[in-house]
Amino acid sequence: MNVVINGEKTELSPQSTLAGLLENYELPQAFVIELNGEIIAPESYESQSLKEGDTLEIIRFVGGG
Amino acid sequence: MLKIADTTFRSRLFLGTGKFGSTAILKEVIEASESEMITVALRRVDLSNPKDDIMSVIDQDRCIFLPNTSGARNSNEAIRLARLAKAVSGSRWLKLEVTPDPRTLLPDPAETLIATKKLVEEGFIVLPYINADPILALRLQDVGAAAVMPLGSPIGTNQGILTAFQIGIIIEQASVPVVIDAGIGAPSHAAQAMEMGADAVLVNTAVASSKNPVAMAGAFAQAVRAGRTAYEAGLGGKSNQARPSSPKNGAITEDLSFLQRR
Repeated sequence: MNVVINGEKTELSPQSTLAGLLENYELPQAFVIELNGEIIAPESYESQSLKEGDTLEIIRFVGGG
Repeated sequence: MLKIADTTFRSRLFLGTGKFGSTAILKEVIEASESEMITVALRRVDLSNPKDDIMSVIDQDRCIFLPNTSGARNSNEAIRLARLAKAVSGSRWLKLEVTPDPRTLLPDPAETLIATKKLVEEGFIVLPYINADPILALRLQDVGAAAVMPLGSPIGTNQGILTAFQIGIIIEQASVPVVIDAGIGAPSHAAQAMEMGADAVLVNTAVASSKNPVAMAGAFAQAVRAGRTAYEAGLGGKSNQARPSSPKNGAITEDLSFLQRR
């Protein structure tokens, strides 16, 4: 199935969970995930399943003024 | 001491963290600045190219993390970014900026007012970035802004305090702290803002674009202290006519009588 992660179309195996997806990435110590416009609490990553067409944003702090 | 919401600050220099060469330099800059209020921005994680983590160089026991909403073009985008920022930082502090025009990066007053009201209702400590508009500053204060942050000149221009007249009115009228944000390009600009009675200044580009950002951060720390001390001491009044600093009377000899001519 296909999802969009940070604007990039990405193919995932069916029955992927958010926690499973995140294992693929090297992530900063603090970040937030928005799934289809809703912020997902970290305690829900394990149970959150992904489906075809989902849009994910993985957001962090960077330098800014 | 400066107090915003319920937090007191020993330093009146707020520091932006954009445009620094590395997080190692940024760490030294933060220390040299003595700043206790550090702004950051939100961006997508670059999944193909993880970089240094800015969170690792900011001591959150010593500094308040002030996320901004840079990139937001309207109140809805700003509110969305504010909620994301809170989810990352766990903190209610927010520098609200709504800049619809990428050419000027001037803030949208109507959208800023709408977003401030909404975010205050949601429990955020909102510090809105505004044009130097005294009436808007009052309106924002009325809806619960914790401070107002009028610009000296547009973001990243290093042009100094081009809005001095309006900033003077804002400082005179405001019941919340006034933080001069944007355009401060030299320590003398920061000192000028502080001498005028600003409660704090926010500096980023002037430090980051210096050849020696660490030394420049220290220079700003001194300038902010000097300007604040001068404000508290009270500047002498201005005059359009010269007034001699040396005594008029008591010239030494007749030959030097010209010293008394005036």
